[in-house]
Amino acid sequence: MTQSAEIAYALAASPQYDKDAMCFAALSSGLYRSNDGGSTWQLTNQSLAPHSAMHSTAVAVSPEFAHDNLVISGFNGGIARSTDAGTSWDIVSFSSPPPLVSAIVFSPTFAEDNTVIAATLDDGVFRSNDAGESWDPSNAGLLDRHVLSLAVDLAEDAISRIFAGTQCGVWESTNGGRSWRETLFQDDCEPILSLAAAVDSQNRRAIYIGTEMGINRAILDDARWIIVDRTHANAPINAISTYSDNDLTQVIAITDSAVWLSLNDGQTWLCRKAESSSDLVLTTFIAPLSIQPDAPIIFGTSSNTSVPLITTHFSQLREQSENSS
Amino acid sequence: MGFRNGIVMRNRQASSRGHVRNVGVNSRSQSVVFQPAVLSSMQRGVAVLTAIIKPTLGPGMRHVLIERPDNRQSPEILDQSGLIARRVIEIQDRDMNVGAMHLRQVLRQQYDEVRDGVATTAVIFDAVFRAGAKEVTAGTNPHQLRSSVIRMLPMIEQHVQSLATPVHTARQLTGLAQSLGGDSALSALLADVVSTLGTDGAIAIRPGYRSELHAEFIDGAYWDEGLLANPAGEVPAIGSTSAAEASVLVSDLPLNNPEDLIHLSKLTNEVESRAIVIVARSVSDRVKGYLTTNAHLFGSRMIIVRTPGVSEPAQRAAVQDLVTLAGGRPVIDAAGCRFNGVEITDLGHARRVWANRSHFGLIGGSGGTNRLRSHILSLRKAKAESLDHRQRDELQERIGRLTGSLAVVSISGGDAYDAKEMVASRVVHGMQRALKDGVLPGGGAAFLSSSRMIKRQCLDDPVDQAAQRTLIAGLRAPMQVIIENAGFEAQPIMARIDCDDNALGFDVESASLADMVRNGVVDVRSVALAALTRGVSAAIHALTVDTIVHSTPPANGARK
Repeated sequence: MTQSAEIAYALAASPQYDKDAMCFAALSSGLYRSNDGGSTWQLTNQSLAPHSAMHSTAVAVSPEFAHDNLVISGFNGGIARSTDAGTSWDIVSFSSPPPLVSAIVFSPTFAEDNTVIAATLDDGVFRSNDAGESWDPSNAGLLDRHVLSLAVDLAEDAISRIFAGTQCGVWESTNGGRSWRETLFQDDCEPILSLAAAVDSQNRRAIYIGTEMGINRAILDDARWIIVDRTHANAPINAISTYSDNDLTQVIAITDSAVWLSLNDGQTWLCRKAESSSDLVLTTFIAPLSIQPDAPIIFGTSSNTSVPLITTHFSQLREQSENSS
Repeated sequence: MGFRNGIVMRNRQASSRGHVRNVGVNSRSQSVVFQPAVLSSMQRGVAVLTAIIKPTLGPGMRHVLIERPDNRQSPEILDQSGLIARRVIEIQDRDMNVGAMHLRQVLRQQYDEVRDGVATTAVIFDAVFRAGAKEVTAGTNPHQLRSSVIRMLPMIEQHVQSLATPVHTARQLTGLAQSLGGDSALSALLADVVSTLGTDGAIAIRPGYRSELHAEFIDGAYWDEGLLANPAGEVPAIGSTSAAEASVLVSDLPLNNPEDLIHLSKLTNEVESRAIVIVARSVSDRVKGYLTTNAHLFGSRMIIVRTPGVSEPAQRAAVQDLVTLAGGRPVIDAAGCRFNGVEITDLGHARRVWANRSHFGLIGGSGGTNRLRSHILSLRKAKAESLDHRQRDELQERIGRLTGSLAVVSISGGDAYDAKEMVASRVVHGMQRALKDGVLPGGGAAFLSSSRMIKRQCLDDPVDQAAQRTLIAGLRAPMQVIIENAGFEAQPIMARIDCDDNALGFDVESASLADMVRNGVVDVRSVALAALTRGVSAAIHALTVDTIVHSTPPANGARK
């Protein structure tokens, strides 16, 4: 691991994490892989830039990872693709001027359509329908090309949805990212830093939207998205994720210095603030085994320490959150 | 030969004999026709025009051959009722012709406003007029009949609306495309393009150079105007030029002075752009020459393209769209702007630009999302309010451009290209309407269901009963014609459907009773409703015509 200060941009875990304990971290010094559940990390894409660090800004692991070993990573100007779990990589460059890849998601129906979506900060969305081998711009209807976040709705339904959070609102695609429709924040024009989708306890489609100031919860009501509540964190929501426990949706969100936890569809929240002396800034996280008492949660940070990744357990996080809520 | 456009029809009986008076008014001889000749003649005229158009209704549609006026070109073979209605088809019998021309006017309105549903309108008009004429002949007052029909019409429209379902899946769209256009390969391709781009999509149909159908989605926006001068001055015959992180200056001025180039180049250097795209009405030879010899002196590349639009309003619209996308301020003649007065704040910006001889495009303009949103909203509003389909098409194209929802579909077809292009346009418009408005059970099933609903109404008033019979005739006619066009006997099939109350229809492709929506046999809701309302209203209004006055053309040279 590099000794210099760096930023963790994204984390992704194998869908078989409980068996292979494999996860990936996109850091400013490159793309790292852990084969032991996040305890130790090795740089995997050194072959692409042997003489300098290759800024890795996004990473996603195929839902069919057990069969295809596919990992896709984003950097400034294109996509790196590995079909051997990160051992070797191919590069696909986007046209100049190079856009910075901000997020990558696999289609909810990837097994059937081989579709992968990559968001960029400058050129909107790129779409691949051959599991990342080739990419084309896919911005029909996307008025704002500054895309900061992506989320997929994994609910089993006739319509699978992909969401894009931009500098100026939330956009939805119901055709695998081929075209986009504006759904929320048309008037407010807020930057959407993070997004997560779920089906709530009342069987409604919900999205959790992280903005500069807090968490917004929207539900789908008669084919229209409506914001039902806003939780003010008074800080940018850097990452947000949803997990399902029986019927209730559990939501974790992070700001620079706090972890927010909801165990009831996002209706109420617990907050655990970092120690004030800490120079850590939380940037991203992943819970590879969903939310269980002994399940690990890996946090990515931006810090001057040599280890920008911290592993903790959900039970510990919850206890601390309740104490400080 | 009584037809200007060559359809040969024989007048089977002398019209209105005994009911015609010749009167002289203002030195022009006029003949006046009274009842009962008016009704019977008009009815025959309507029947003739409907007979010409109705073979085109339904998937088992046939073609209509129309001679051209000069007889020198080969006749037109048409399968689109909208086009047939636009041709001048005149019947020799002048009394009959009045009925036919009245229907033709109604059909043209349907085509101009809706671009579809013309054959359905004709069939409903004919059936309502025929049934209504029977009631009037039997003694019903036509004005009372009209009032009663108009009173019942909203109830029918409401019933038809209640049968509408939204279009969700690609399969539904493909089914609709096939029922609109027939050609399965083209329909599948267009369904794919429309399902991708949605109702905002602007889909250009172009002649293809390859044998297969091909669709290309365009990133960003493009216009059908090209380079006036490229960085080296002259425009190359082939190939294109492109630039990244370019400044954009939008104007409708001619670029005549090399000094203006120098001024614009300085501004571009100040904002540290690598290139500038100048949108101008024209470029003088002096400017081109200067650019050729001095391009290396400029710190940035100069790409000069023509201001899009032929007419002044079209240019204004293009300038407005370009500035909305790229940002900056328009430098326009009407505001007294000149190139030498351009300031840095007038410059917009685009992430990428490209241009060739015939087109130019912008990708990733810096106009701002909110400004873009409100401009698109205003165009959508204007489109919704417009009754002119050409204006709606232009607005659709602009909306597609601004939302980045553009595609080009290439069709090969040789001599048949024009016909294929029309079919493709009709399919695209139909599918976009269906996405917006939803669909109804097709094949006339929605109308037949409404006829059963209206039949169940218990009415005491004899006029209302006459109106009920008239409406039932109009509502049953579309399905009857579709079934007969496919070569089946309609009455037994419709009787079987009547026994079932589940809005079934007859799928002529599978020759079976079916749930039409599930089988993908659907009609666009707004088109079907417009055909119904227009067909019924116009026919019932025509029944109130009491007298026809023919104007006899004056002798040569008599007109002043």
